[in-house]
Parts: sequence; structure tokens; C-alpha cells
Amino acid sequence: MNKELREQIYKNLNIKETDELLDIWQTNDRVEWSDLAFEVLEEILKQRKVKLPKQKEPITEYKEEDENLEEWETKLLDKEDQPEFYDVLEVLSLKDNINKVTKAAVIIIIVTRLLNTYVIQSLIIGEIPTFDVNIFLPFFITILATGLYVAIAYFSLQALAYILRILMEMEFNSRNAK
Amino acid sequence: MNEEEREYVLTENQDRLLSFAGWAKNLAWVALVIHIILAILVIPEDMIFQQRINSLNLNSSSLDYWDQMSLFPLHSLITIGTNILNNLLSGAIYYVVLKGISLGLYMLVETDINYREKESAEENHE
Repeated sequence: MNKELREQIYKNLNIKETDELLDIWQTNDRVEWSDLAFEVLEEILKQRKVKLPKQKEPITEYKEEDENLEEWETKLLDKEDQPEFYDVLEVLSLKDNINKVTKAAVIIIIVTRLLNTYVIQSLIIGEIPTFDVNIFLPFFITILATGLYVAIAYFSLQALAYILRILMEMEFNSRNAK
Repeated sequence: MNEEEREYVLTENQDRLLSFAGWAKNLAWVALVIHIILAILVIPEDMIFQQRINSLNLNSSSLDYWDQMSLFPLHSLITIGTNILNNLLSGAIYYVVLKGISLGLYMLVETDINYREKESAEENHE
């Protein structure tokens, strides 16, 4: 059985390019490839007279990394020397919440402002409003005002998120200065 | 950090900043809860407002609040819905802003302490 399996692995690996095999060898992913596969791989590479490069640390399990976290954020969380006065995770979670509130604010401001106009309410009940300056002028001013409110909410909240990020980076760098 | 360490490490200004940070953190929750309550109270508040209007109007009909709403369902729905949404949004914005101010102040104090520790370590080394 073991011999058959070995032959099967040999056949599968032998059709691959040397570069691809070297990549598998170096990556040393023991989750994707069995120990037997690595034995066969070594044999094939030796047969092809390729000098075996140094392998990386074996990967024995896949770490589930939060896709929402950036590299530096993961670094901050992994650091043993954690800050005394605040929780890094709390800041990251707030940053995430600020982004959610920003999106909600944009949608809610647009919906609530426009729904309160006569033009939109008429359109909802299926009436097409007659073109009258007294109707359309307030409507266009409402659209402009809505754009302004959206911009104020969006830029203020995003600025807050970036300020928090910069402050956290500054604090992190100051920890290295200690 | 206990009270003794706190007195030793923190300057008066840092202590004041931490106090502001604490207040902002608590106020964030208060603002959120108040706005959620305000959002819940939109309908009762509107009912009271309508009753006052009716009491001022001599020709008012005997229609109750819900009957009046059914006369202009779309307008009533939009008014109430937008009021609720605006209250919830205001609560969420106050919450994240105050929480951000609080955490920002904590980070500033932490950074300041880190640099001060570095300076004092360098002085001791010399």
C-alpha cells in the first residue's frame, strides 16, 4: 500500500517543473504535503541533480489571520509589551466601528434628507410634480445641503479614524524608544 | 497601575488628561443610551405634540392619533422613520467620537510617559 502510494506521489510530483518542486520544498508546508511526499520530493530533486536549498520552518497548522487586520495592526497585537492605559484591540475595534458608522451616516443622511422633500414624496406615491420654481428650487438646495452634510460627516469621521491610527503608531514607536 | 505608582509616574497635566479621557469614555455610553431612548420615544412625543395641536384647534376632529396618521400614511411614516434614524445616527456618532477622544487621550499620555521614561533612563545612564 505504502509502495503504491509512494509511486502515485512520485508520478504526481515528477510531472512538475523543478522550480515548482523547489518552491514546495522550501515552503515546507506539512499541512498540504505529507512527510512521505517530502521524502519523494527530495528523491526527485536529487535525481534531477538539483542542490537542495534550505527549508523554511515547517508549517504544521494554518493560522487564521483576521483579514480585516493590516500587517502593522497584527504586529501591534502580537507585541508582548502592551500599553498600560489603553487596549490595542479596543482601538482597532473602534476604528472598524467608525468605518461602519461613516457608511451608515452617509446612507441615513441621504435617505432622510431626500425623503422629506416634496418631490421625492410625490414620486413615491406615483405623482409627477409639475415643474414649479417653488418646488424644485428647495429640492435642489436640499440636494446641495445633503451633499454638504454627507461630506462633513464622512471627512470628520474618517479623520478621526486616521488620527487614532497615527496616535497608535506614535505610541508604538515610543515604546521602542523606551 | 495602582494609586501610588500613578502619583509617582503621572504629572498633573497627564492626570488631568486621563480624567478627561475617563469622562469622555463614560459620556460616550451616556450619549448612546440617551439617543436610543430618544429614538424609542419618537412616537409618544409625536402623539403628545398632535394632542396639543388638536387642543389648540377649535375645529379639531375627534380623530385619534392613529386615525390622523392613517390620513397621511406616507408622510407620517417618513416623519417618524427619519426622526428615529436621525436619533440613532446621532447616538452612534456621539459614541464613536467621544470614545475616539477618550482613547486618543490615553494614547497621548502613554506616548508621553514612554518618552519621559526614555529620557530619564538616558540621564541615569550618563
